[in-house]
Amino acid sequence: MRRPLVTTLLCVSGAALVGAIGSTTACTIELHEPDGGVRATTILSPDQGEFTTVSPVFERRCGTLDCHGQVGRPLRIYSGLGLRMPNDAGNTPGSNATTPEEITANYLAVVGLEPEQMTRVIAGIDPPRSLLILAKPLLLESHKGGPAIATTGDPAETCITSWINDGIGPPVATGLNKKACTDAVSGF
Amino acid sequence: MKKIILLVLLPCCGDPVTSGEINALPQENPLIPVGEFHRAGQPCVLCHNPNGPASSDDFSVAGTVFAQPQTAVGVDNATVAFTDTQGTSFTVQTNCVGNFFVTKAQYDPSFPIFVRVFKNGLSRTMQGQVGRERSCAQCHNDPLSGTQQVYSSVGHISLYLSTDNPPPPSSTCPVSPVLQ
Repeated sequence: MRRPLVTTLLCVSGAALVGAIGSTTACTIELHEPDGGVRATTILSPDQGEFTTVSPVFERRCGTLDCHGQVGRPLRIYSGLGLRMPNDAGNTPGSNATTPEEITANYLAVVGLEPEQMTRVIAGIDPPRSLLILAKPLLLESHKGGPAIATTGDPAETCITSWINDGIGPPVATGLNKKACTDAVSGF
Repeated sequence: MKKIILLVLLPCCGDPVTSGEINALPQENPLIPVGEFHRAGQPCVLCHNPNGPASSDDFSVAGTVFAQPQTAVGVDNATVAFTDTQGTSFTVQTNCVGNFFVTKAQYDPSFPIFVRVFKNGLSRTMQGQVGRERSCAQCHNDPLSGTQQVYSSVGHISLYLSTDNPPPPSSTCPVSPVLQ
């Protein structure tokens, strides 16, 4: 059976998405098939600009070199302390802060892990916890890395959920919880 | 008439991923007998786990502390301190080649764990946490220069900075504390 190849993930920020409520980004995944046919699926995802505040949570909770900070692992996470994107600036693990390009790559990894499910969540059909980015660290699904987020009262979930809810819009959107995002990386 | 072919699946020779990783390691140094001093700087728990070839010694975490980033000289009597996500702590001393190892019977931490190394008042704290890897050397290895490994390796564990003047290695060690 032929498999289509995902070759590009194109995203357009908030205002360009007609009809969207809240801070949302529309991404189009182009599927190029070997016979030259092109199919496209438009997905909805939380705001890319706000992700700059959310990315450190994924970097510190998920992106260590022995977990998702590995090239061969799904949900690849780049970070200043972990895996670096190939670069000419001399950035190596532990040497410099996470770059904007790495944050963009992290965003695409997060929203592109389950593009259809992300779309359902942003459309208000399914809850944020139905996403693997929350279900696995919360151990709602099997996760080899164990409980990366506590099931109750963990600011990491508060941060990520507030970012997702902001993409869903009213009535669940209450704004990105920046304090929770900061608290979530404290001590990590 | 249909012929029925029965396939008999024999037990396999073990985990091919782990076997491949073990086979890719440098060979044993013939000058160092298998034991607590061998394979310094290599990922110990690849073998020292319930399914590995050294399953009799089931390590929960293990590694090697070297003196400086640019040299592979083992540091003896350094203390490696672990604190796990439950707040449980454990310390272990390095031997004369810098190796340290903790068996699961001694301490079976709940990952992630936080690590600090110290000796004679000098302390180094790992900036991030260990998510799940039990072999320090899986991440703390020396990348081949000019390869993509420089983007995913933090180099071997070192107690002293490259500009420091560390004390000489153990003179009573039964094997050379200098990695060869």
